[in-house]
Amino acid sequence: MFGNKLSSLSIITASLILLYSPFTHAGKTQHRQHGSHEHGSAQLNIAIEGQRLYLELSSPAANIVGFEHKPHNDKQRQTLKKAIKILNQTSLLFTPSASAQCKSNKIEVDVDTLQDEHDKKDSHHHHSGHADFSAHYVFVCQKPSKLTTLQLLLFKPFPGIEKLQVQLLTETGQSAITATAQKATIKLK
Amino acid sequence: MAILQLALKSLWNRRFTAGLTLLSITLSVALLLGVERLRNESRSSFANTISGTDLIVGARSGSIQLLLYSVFRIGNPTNNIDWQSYQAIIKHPNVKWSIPITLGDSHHGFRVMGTTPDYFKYYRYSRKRPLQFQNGKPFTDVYDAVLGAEVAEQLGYQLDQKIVIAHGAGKVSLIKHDNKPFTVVGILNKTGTPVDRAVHVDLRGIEAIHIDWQGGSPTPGMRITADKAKQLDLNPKTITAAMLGLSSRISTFKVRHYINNYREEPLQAILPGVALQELWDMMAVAEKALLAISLFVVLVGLTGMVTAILTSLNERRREMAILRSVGARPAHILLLISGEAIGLCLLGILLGIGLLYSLLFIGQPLIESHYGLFINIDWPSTYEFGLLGILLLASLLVSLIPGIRAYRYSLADGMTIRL
Repeated sequence: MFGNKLSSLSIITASLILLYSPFTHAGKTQHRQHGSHEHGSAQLNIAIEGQRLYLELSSPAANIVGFEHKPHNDKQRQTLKKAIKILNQTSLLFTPSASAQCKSNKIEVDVDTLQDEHDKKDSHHHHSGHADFSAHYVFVCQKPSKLTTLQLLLFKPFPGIEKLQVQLLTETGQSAITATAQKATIKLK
Repeated sequence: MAILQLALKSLWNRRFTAGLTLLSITLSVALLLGVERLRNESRSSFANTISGTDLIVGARSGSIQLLLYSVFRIGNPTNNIDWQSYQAIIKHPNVKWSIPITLGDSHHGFRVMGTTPDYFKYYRYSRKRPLQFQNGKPFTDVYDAVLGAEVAEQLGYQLDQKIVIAHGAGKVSLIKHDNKPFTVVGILNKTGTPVDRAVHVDLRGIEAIHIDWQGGSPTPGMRITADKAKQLDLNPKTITAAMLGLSSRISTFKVRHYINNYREEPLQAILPGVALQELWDMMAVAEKALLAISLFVVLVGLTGMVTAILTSLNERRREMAILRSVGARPAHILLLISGEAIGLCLLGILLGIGLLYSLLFIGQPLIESHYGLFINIDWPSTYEFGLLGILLLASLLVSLIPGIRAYRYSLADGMTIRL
């Protein structure tokens, strides 16, 4: 008797749990994972190969524009627009050694999660309460052997970036450096 | 000029104590620079434990942990990688080569590593040096084994020797895979890396010795012979980790992103160079301690020099008096004493550098063959010159102690010594 009651109770509980689990909602399992996200800190990946200097900047949106949601008002829309404009101007962000004669060749800025619904290309991104900026840059250098340093200027337009975790891949190996506004020159050789 | 000659003659008179002082300075300089060299070389040798590998793939954990178990064979993996995931990853268009590795078994306390012949083709250490065979060749058969230099040396193994692999990584293992012995077909040259302490076998070999096992022990009454096992499907089901070489350096970040976000299995790809650096930074305290010790050695050397000069001052009061009588001013006396100290120090530095370099030239081939540690012989770096400059400056300062003392003696004593 008692055992029967208990088992029927557990069946109800189990079905309740099932009802509220995300599996029943979606009908299939979701892939749940989130990258780390730390305000004040951003990542810069650098790879040098042949004549090409490749830079990959990614930062929590809070460091760049001060908010992490779609712009609510005109002021925020302006801020976002300005940030995207700056991210598209390499001369405001990086200076490779002048003697290496590097020219910016390709720029890609991705602020997908922050753009307004109507100008968003695809909506597979979940909004997790955080948003990131990422940008890719390719420089082509005439004299890659002279490419010894990279000066980071981006601390000035984006004071929200306090620390930049740099990972550097070169002919001689892989290394990691932390750059700040005070330590803004990266040795590439 | 005459005063220099006098000074040299006076020094020659005290050649025994002066020689000892010079020796202590020479030794301390050689030690300071030597420790500095060793610090740099061990750092770069550490950083060169693995070279030429763009990414290491393993179960998701921390980058240092993955590096420790896959390269240094310290600690344990959190999980294995499914063979299918591995196959999918190496099909990425930017992956040029890959080395799968499986750990878990051992031989007399040395780790047995299952891999493929690609390991000998692509694995690089210390500034892109390939693995070389001291004897024999890479494995081809399921039951072939290639030994690291230290394994062969410590256990006294030769080619064609049969070895039995024990189950598990412990030094004492009760369960042995004794029905499927391996044959040594190759012995590697010394590398100074964990490769020296590994027994390398084919991935299929690892699979074969476990084929009649169930639940971590041999299935009773079901022994599959070595030859029969060869006929079966020996593709592994899981591997411990994998090293990847990519077609372009720039694609590294892309492939890493692909692996870190691989949906079917939680995997992680790390940059071995960056992880090595993180690991070394954790040990930076020991590095600083080494430098501190060598600085103290220099301090002891300088103190010794001052002591030697100070004790000689009393003996030399007569000498000073005579010098004064022939017209030397107290300032000359100061110059004489301090100049001697600085001169000794300068000579000690030169001799110390000479000693270090001759030791390096003699020791380099020996250290390389015994420890696999390759020491670069370069000109002293600007940092080292800086250290020596500081040393010279310090000697100038401490030389003022006996100098000023002698100055005051000569003022007080004049031409006669009042004892």
